[in-house]
Amino acid sequence: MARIIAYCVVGFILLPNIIIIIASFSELRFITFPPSGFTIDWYVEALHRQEFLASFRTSLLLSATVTAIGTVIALMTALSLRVLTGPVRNWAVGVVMSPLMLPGIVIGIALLQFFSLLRVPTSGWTLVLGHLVITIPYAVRLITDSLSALPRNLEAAASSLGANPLRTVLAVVIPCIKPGVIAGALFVFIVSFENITISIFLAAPQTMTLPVRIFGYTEQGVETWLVAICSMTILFTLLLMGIIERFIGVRRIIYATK
Amino acid sequence: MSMATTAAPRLAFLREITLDRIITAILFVSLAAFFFVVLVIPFGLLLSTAFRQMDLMTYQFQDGYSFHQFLRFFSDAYYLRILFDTVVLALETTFVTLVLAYPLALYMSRAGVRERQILRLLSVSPILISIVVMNFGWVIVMAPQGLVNNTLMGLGLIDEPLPLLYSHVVVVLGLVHVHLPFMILAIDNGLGSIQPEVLKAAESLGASRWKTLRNVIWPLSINGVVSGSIVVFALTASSFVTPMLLGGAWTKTLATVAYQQILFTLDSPFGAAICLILLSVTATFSIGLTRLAIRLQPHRAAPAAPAPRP
Repeated sequence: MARIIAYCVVGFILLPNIIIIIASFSELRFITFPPSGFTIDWYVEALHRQEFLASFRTSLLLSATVTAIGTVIALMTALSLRVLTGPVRNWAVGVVMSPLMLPGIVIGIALLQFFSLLRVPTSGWTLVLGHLVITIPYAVRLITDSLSALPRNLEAAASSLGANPLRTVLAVVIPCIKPGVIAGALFVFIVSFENITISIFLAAPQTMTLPVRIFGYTEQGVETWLVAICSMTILFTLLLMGIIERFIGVRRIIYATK
Repeated sequence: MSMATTAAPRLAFLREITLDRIITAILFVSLAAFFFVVLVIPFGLLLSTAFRQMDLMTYQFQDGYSFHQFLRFFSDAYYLRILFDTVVLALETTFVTLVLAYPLALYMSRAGVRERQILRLLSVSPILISIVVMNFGWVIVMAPQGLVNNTLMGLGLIDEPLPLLYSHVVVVLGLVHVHLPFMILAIDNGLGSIQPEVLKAAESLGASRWKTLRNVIWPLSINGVVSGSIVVFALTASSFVTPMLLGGAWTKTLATVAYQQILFTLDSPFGAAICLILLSVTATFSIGLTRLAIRLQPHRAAPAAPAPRP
């Protein structure tokens, strides 16, 4: 009985995604479920939609940039937090982690007003900054998790063997926390790729990310090629999750989302 | 000799100061500056904007600070109604989420290692997929020619498609679906902290399974329930994508109004004020629920609110 209920809830969680994948093969232009017939024409049509290809490129480029910059900042932040102690550390942790406590809409609006006060128009870079704000805490959490498993005297041991602090970090600490850093990077990528609440405020018309573009279209009534696009984003996320599972295990994803 | 041994590390330390310490100092200062610029300043700005006024003809800020935006909000029945609707929507969603998440988390806590891993992965997977895409799945389920309507018509229960889409029920459903993972993880966390010995003790003392659940497991998992509810309430109250996508134009919440004020009306002080009202609603809920949990369980320590924890 308990098992049936549990699996029903899991089914509820998975239902919309499965429905999207099935519905994307329907032969009809307008959504019907169950679908009639089987065709991959809508995938072909979706791949010919220039605005979606542009948005997909924007999203990929954005997420890659955010991952590269964000992982480095998160790594430096996690290493710095390891050194800090006492109330200073608590304050620093509070500030760094605060985006996890604040609703996305509040962060989005705060940053938009900040940029407009500075007379910075929305662009790819405003998106990058916004995404850095919301993704860095996840990476810091994952890297700190790895760091806390290291013995405290590891750095002392390295320096007593003659390594300077920089070398200690590069040659000793980073290799030890590599799984945490990779998990952090992948998580930053996924969170950035799927985000809409921040992007919708900070994207310019020419830098619309994929979720923002899909959102714009769903308000205008839906055709099956849009379902195919949604289906492709689900498959893309599954692929990324598969990579994470293969290389570092899902335990870290679960940890990061807590 | 003893002089030399104590002096050498000191000198080494002095030598180190030159480059590494400088790099470290620069690192600290630049990180502090980064977080100050991208987090502290924008949020401070949001706070101050809420107390200003904007001339909607010229889009220039007027001089001076006042409570104008808050008075405007609280003196208008239209906005009070939206505030009320938002709270009701968030409460409904939180409750349904809890009812669905608890049995799953409970089952996960007793399942074998492999099964638990798979269930956990499946239940967090929505966090990794865009809200828009997941909501879109519900559009297909609820559309006039969607899964539910076609099934009901196929069974001959209805003759015409029900207007399911853009109804309140669908908004709650979509919100529950999007936020379920957070509740599952929080309860899973809470249940994980229960020592297995405690359950054995209850069993050996003759408690039935229902009694164990009610008198042992539930009270011990209340921390997870409280922190999960706080997170889900806050996320739901501040969501605007799902209400707009599944609720249509006439579903108004604080967040959709703030979104419209910022991006379309361009009244940023009013938008900022609504953000602050939204934050106070979620803060009130989290403080209130934490207090309630303490009152209901006087013998237990205060459940911790989900504190930032790297």
